[in-house]
Amino acid sequence: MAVTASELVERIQAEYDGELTEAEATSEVDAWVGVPPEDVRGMARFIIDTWAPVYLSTITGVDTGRQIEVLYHFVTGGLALNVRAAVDKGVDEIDSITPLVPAAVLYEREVAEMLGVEMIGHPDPRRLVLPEDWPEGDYPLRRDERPTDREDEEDNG
Amino acid sequence: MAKLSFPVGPQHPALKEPENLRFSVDGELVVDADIRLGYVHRSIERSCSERNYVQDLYLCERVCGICSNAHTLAYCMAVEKLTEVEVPVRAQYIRMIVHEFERIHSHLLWLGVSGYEVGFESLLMYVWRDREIIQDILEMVSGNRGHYAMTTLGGVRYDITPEMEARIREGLQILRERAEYYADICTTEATFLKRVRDVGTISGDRCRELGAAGPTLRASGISFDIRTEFPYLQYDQVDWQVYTSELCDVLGRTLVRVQEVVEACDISLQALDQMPDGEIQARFPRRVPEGEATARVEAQRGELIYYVRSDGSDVPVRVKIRTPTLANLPAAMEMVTGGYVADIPIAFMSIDPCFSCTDRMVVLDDVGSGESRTMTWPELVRLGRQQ
Repeated sequence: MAVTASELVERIQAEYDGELTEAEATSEVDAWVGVPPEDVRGMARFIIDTWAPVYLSTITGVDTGRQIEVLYHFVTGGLALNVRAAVDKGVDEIDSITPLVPAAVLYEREVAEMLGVEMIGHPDPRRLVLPEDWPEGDYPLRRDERPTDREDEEDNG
Repeated sequence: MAKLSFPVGPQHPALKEPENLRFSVDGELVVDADIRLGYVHRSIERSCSERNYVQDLYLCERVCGICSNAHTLAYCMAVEKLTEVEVPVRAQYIRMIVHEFERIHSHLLWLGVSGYEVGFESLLMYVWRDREIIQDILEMVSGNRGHYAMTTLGGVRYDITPEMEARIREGLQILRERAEYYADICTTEATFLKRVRDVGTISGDRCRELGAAGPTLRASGISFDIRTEFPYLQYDQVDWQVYTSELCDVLGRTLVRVQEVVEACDISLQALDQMPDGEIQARFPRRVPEGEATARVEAQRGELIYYVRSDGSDVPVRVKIRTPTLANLPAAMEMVTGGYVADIPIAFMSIDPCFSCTDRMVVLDDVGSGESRTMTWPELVRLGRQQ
């Protein structure tokens, strides 16, 4: 069991055999690692196999302009392990980790509908928060111009 | 018997938010449960990235009426991590005291309502009478009974004076005794035990898999508490322990919460003893340096996590909030499944979703015959009590 976040990061660098886009301990308890979006399930598998039981706090989606970052916030043994996977806009899909981590079921649905990242292999990909008649392709937490913005202006003008 | 599927809500269910639950029942047994959220979606996360850090403080306070302090605390901790502002030690103690006060009031509120759900109304009356003690204390300290607005960026807004301290100690002594009395009632009162023992069961392993949090997780024998997992404020300076129960049912969740009230009194009393003199607020910059941070606190319902990202301006790029109720919902669905229809209210209540008092409606839709009949929430509660 790792004692500090930097030891956790070192262990991932030594034992994880996929590509890492970043690996850094930002404090004694916060570790950040990045993986290409296609490897996210492999990383989840690695984390579960290495540190079980692992607790998934939540999944955050952030629009950074050209990409949507999907952040997985894991907790293991008093340390916060955050995994970042940046999905290019236009690709808009990432493997679901729900088959490996059942706790992700609602969090992935939330990211999918709020930021438009399709979760490939999600067992229950329905909407969670938005109404049934919400327009397709309009994602409230994306920061670029939204299809409904212009209509609103016309209505007001 | 034909299998029935009936929706509960959106204008109804046992939650602070109107939510749509769908139960499939075979006779009196629930065979499947599903949930649909979003009926009170207020776009708070989006709004946060359109307001500055100080305005967001007020917005986050209003995510929830019961755990408002936990929200501002987690938000402030995340932003303070980014700015590297040191919160004065006295402010940290005051934050911790108010954090525990909130736990006391919330757990007592829950205990009363769960008593009501199983038809044990005198429990509701007594518990809510005692809850007034902590409400008065909160009002004395912060000026408010609901949104205390105590936590602010860099510290707390109000100090605890020696006069207040004396009244707090007096109140907490009474509350501590009362909580121990309720712990005794909950384990010995036969009518109560009959309604909560082996109801809404879920194993610890399953809880962990589904990501359940807080008392729900601890009542299934798993010792996981953010206050010990990621010690924040001054929790590592006081002597207390995480209380767990192996019962895995509603009784277990009741005992964990009652015991946490006792612990919360002890933590607050120790904090009052240890609290040093000094400043209660640090100067806070208007602009927050570029970066990202997560902050976790143990709110009364479980782990509450905030993620804040800054681009160096005075407006955050992203504020993400995950409330403990969302984490507990998959577990709640499993608790209800396999139980009786009459146990739905108490089993669902046991994760402590917020219960608003308005009259609610359940539609029982008979798939086989195509007939449907309606049932109001009080009727469902009454059915719960007849059990």
